[in-house]
Amino acid sequence: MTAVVTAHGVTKRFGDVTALDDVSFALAEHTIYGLLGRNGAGKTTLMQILTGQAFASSGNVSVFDAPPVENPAVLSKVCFVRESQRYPHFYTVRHVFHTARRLFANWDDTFAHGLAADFQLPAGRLVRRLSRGMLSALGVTVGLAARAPLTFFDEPYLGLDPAARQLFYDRLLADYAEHPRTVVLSTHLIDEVSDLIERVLLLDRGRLLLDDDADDLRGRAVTATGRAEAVDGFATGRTELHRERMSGLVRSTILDGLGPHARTLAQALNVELEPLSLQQLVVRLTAPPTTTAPADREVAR
Amino acid sequence: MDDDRPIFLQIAELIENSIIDGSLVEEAQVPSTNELAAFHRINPATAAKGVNQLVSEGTLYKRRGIGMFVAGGARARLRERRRERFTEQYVEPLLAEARKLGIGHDELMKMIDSFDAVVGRDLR
Amino acid sequence: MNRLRQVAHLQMPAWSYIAGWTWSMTAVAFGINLLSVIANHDPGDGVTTTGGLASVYGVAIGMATVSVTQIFPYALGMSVTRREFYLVWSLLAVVQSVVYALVLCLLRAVEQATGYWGVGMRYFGLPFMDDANPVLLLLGYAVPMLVVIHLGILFATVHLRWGTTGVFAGLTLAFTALGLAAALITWTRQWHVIGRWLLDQSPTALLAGWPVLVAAAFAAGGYLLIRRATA
Repeated sequence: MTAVVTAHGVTKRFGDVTALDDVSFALAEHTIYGLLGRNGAGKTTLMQILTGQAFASSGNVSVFDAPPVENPAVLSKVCFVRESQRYPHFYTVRHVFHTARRLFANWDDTFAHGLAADFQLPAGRLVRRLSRGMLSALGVTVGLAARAPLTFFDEPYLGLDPAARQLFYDRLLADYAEHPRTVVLSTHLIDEVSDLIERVLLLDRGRLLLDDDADDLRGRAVTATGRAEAVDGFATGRTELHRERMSGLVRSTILDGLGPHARTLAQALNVELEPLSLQQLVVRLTAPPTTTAPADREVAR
Repeated sequence: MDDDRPIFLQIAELIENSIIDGSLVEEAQVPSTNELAAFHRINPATAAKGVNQLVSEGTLYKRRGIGMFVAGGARARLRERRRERFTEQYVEPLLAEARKLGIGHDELMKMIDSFDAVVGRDLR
Repeated sequence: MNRLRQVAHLQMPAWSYIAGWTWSMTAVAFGINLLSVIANHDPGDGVTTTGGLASVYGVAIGMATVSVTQIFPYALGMSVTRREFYLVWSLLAVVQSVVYALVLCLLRAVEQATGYWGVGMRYFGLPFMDDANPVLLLLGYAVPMLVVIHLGILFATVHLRWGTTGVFAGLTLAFTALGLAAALITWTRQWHVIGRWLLDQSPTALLAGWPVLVAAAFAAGGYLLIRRATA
């Protein structure tokens, strides 16, 4: 694989808060990544460091084989659509397009205007007068039309209705097929993008928890539902992520180690196995330890 | 894509189904990975993985610069393979559930016959 | 060079604001001064200097600050480096200074041709430079403009790094330092040395010579600060 990004031991501290903790990974050419994790997990900080907008406290970052910080040769191939991007007070939508056209080498003006029309973006309106959804649509339009070899979208969907989000996903996929590039999509709407993304990076409290093929993760965990002693028997020796209880019935979320015999065993024990969606897997892996035991809560309900 | 098996397998199976039911005949061109990706709203790399699996199994073959085509004899081979798995995939669970509910052999056969008759009439 | 020209376009949408505000505020200030001079005019008075010209420079500080704080976060978001941004803003400061200076020279010419607006009010003309040649005159207007724009940019970079608190802390520090320096000079009874030095300098050196160094110092400070600024 041709790596467009490599990160080694990237750590970022704000005072005594560690936003990123020894994060290492590589991003391959022509791949769509899902950058997942809860709020405050360090997703935005990581993208800021990869685009030279913020500085790592320690560790090394290389983008197109060079450090990105203050590097015009690297940054000219990078586009970072920030959820909280600030626009100058006196800028209209048209001003944004005019400047983007000058600053991104691969900018496609026809595509940009097509997208703007699809999203019904009013060209003459001041950016600060746009609704939250319109602002997201503007970001999405810039990010897609820039056709930067490395494009980051930081929660690009805020305020977009389902139809507009579908439009974004469809346009992204169609344009990506014609102009392959590396896309990093930071999102909480995992179910919506799980078929779009090829690889998953999962951050949890500043640490990189997963760096896997999205398709591999689909079979990675299952829920095993059945009578308590049967589920106990099945779960023995396996990694249990979570357990829910309702009268005599237990549902256990189990990670890895299923193997070919697991299905036979489950059948014999009368335990029902169901694969976990990517979103459910991420929820289970990053949920905070609850103060009340889940079992008690389930009973109380 | 709905169920939680790897998407590339689902893509491969969808193409196999089209070959088995005859909507993709032998020597017909199959949709490109980009078409598959756009239609199913999935990543093109994943679509390519599914198609490549069928190529390596000999179901499809590649004509350089043109696209993917259904191989000769693919339909027969796929039917044969599906038949081999039929017992394990459909008969075993059917019998297991029947046993759980106390449905005997004769009763089960009767069910199949009458269902077949209904479906057969509707199809006619 | 081409890249710098593209980056410069980031400032273009701001220009109607910057020029519009600057010159309309100047026009208003000029109008008020003119009315007050007319009201108190006594033909025997000769020429009075209002000092209203300073407002043009004051507004320029604010405009420079706002243009950086508003556009820098956007520029960074559009994959522009801090170095490119600062270089372009410094170059545009030079252009702005020269253009403003040309306008001021023109207004000064009008002022003199109309007999100081017919009421003996010197608004745009620089004192002490009545017999300066056109080039020196232009520099007399342009260089102080360059100083104040870079001061504005410096304020903005402090704001980018440490926010409003940083700007106030910086101003407090600067005034404290100036106050201490003044106290020190008073205490060592050296004011006459400073005074003599000032008298020894030509008006040209005071307006167009030494301020170049001040502008350079501000520019260097701003550059150091922006290198680590984040949006």
